[in-house]
Amino acid sequence: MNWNEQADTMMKAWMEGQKKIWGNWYDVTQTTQSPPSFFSAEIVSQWQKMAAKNIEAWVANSDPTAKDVAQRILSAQETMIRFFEFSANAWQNIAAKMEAGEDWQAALTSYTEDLRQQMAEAVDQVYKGSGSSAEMWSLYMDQFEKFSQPWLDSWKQAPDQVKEGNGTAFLELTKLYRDTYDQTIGRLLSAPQVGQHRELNEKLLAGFQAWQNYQQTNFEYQTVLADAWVKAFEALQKELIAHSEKKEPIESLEQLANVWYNTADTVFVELFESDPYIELQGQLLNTTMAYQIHRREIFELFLKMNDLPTRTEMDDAHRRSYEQRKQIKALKKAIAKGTPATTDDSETVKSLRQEVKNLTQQVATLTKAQEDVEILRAELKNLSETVSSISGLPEGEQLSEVASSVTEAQENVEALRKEVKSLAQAVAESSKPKRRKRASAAKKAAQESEEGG
Amino acid sequence: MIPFPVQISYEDAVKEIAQFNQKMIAGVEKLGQFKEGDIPAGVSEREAVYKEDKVTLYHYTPLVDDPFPVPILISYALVNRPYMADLQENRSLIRNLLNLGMDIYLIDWGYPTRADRWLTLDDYINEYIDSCVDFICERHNLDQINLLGICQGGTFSLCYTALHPEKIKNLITMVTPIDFHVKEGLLNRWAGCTLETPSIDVDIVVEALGNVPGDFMNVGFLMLRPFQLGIQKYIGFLNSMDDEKRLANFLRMEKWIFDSPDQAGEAWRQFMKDFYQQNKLIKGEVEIGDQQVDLGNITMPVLNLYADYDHLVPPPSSIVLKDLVKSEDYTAQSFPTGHIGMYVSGKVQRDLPPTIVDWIKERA
Repeated sequence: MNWNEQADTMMKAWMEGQKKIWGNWYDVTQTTQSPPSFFSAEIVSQWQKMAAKNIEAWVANSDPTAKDVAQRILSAQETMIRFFEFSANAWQNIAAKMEAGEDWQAALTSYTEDLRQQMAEAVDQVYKGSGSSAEMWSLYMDQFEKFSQPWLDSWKQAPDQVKEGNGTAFLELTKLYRDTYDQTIGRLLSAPQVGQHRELNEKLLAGFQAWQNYQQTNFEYQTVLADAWVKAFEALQKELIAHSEKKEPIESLEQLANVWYNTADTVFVELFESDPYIELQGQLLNTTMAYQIHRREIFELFLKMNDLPTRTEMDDAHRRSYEQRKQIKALKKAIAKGTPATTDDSETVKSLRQEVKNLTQQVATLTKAQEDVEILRAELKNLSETVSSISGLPEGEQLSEVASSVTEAQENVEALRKEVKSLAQAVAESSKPKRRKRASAAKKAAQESEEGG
Repeated sequence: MIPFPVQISYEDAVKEIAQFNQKMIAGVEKLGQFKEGDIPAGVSEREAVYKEDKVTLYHYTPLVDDPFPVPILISYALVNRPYMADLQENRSLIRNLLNLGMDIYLIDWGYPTRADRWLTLDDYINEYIDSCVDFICERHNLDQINLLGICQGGTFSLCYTALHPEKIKNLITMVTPIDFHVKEGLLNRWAGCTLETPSIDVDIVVEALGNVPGDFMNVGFLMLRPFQLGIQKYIGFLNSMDDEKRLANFLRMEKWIFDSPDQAGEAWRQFMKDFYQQNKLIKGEVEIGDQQVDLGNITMPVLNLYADYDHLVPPPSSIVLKDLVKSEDYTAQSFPTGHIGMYVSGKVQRDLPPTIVDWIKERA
């Protein structure tokens, strides 16, 4: 699809409309009998030739910003010169009547009405707002076909199965609808559709209704603007009268132009600030948007027929991507918040590990001590047996001596065993709070992680 | 005899037109020598230091050896490009602040595409601005920075500061709309401050367009003064077209005016409905994400700058801030210029940057 060509076509159509409006006014000024004016056709013509020459030079070495600025300047100039020409001729006739003591206000009113009529006719011709429904439908379908033509042109370069697809069928279908609508003017517009293509029918008809709403609102809007132009003209004339009364003549074209700009801005801004205008502007915007939505829906049916992605589908994909991106950002933030806490837990784990290591060493020491005690007991037993066998002492005394020694040793061992046992208990008791603390820290970390997600 | 008000003889008119055309021809020749690349977007040296999606945080190269330790982060509007604050050498707010020893960062929102259609104000304020603030704090090892919000960027800055007051040391707002129901503003009226949906059905616009095109906004701004901005400006320009410097300045401004990014649909929807149509900010009803914006949370020093002849943000729209923040150190200062003049008026640029810098230094 060549959107640039489409945009050019639309721009040319608008420019033609503008030329038509100003052309009509120019014709009026040419037929009106008035004193010689410095806004002569010759000067305007000379200016136009020079401007056209300049444009050619610009196109040769075009630069986007510079060219755009130049185009705006030229368009504005031509418009203003023609408007001044009309206004100057009007003033000359009005002033003559003022001099003669005649009713100059009637003359002003007459010129104002003439201008208003020209504006209305021009607007009507451009926007064809007075056509019948059948004409409107034909016009709609013509415009719709033209709009879809670039798509169809692009299909000519597509594979055969696309060329033989619904492109031609779509055009045939629209012609069929035009014929059908011509035979049953307006009646089918609001009735539910039937048949295999009912969905397409519904959308086409809803689109037509939206387009019709847009056209009507646009016509009303342009009429209000045209009226504002007329009021601006009246205000300009009154401003010129005020200059006359104050004996402050305007002595250059630039000064005259500035009077016009300031006067017109005042009139238009006053209009723009009014609630009725704001409401009408809102209606125009809303009907334009509604038509845009309907047009897109129709084209999406068109695209779906040809297995091409639609704007709605792309928006949906973008939305999912956006939501996922947002989730990832939220998770990253939650993890980043968790990083300092994880470091603390590591320190806790580290210290707990050290404690366990120490306790393990202590247990190993105690175990060794127990083993030593057992060895000592065994040795002591042997010793007592040996002592009793070789000492020669009366067995009773020997045994008594040894027995007291053994008893003492046994008591020592018992004391030692109790000590070992109490130590083991103490170790067991001291490790319990640390296990609870570890469990609590782990639980807290898990909770924080859940909240952050 | 009633004098004809337009006392222009035929000969004078022809002479004026001829002179005009001569200027135009000379100007056209000069115009033809310009290329798009000759119109830079910003004149001060800077470096991209952080990126997130299409948002870029720029750090401007300091122009003094020892810049002020607490940087200023500039938050601009979404509707235009931020290089307005750095448009030309002798009229650059950023350059002037740098010359006065400030350390400047600026958020460039980028050009949203259709993929950004779902971005919300929460993303812009609680994500992008917050990320930039955090980045600067970490880079400079600070807990707080200075925040300067311009126009809609000022509104964003207010919302951000209200939600994250602990991160902002001093807040400066410049030509910032706060009360959107000031009827003197034509933009406010067109956006629906009196009629709401009948003036513009925000939902249908977003549904139809997705992102709101920059041109849509441009046409709206031009229509506020159709003849002055659409015609008179260009006719006046023709008189100065033969002056290369003035031509360059005009083209720079022209580039900025029409270099308007598209507006992310959802963010635009909320801004239009909550701020312009329902004026929720001054009522304390704006919700960004799941948090309510209470301007009463703003307790740090505030400097509120506005333009006396601002037709986009009428002074009453900004002045109201005084009654909404709970700062004990609130200063308001106006300048005798319009909205754009705050950045590009030579006279204002002589006074505005020192006002900002002196104010900040007093609150170091």
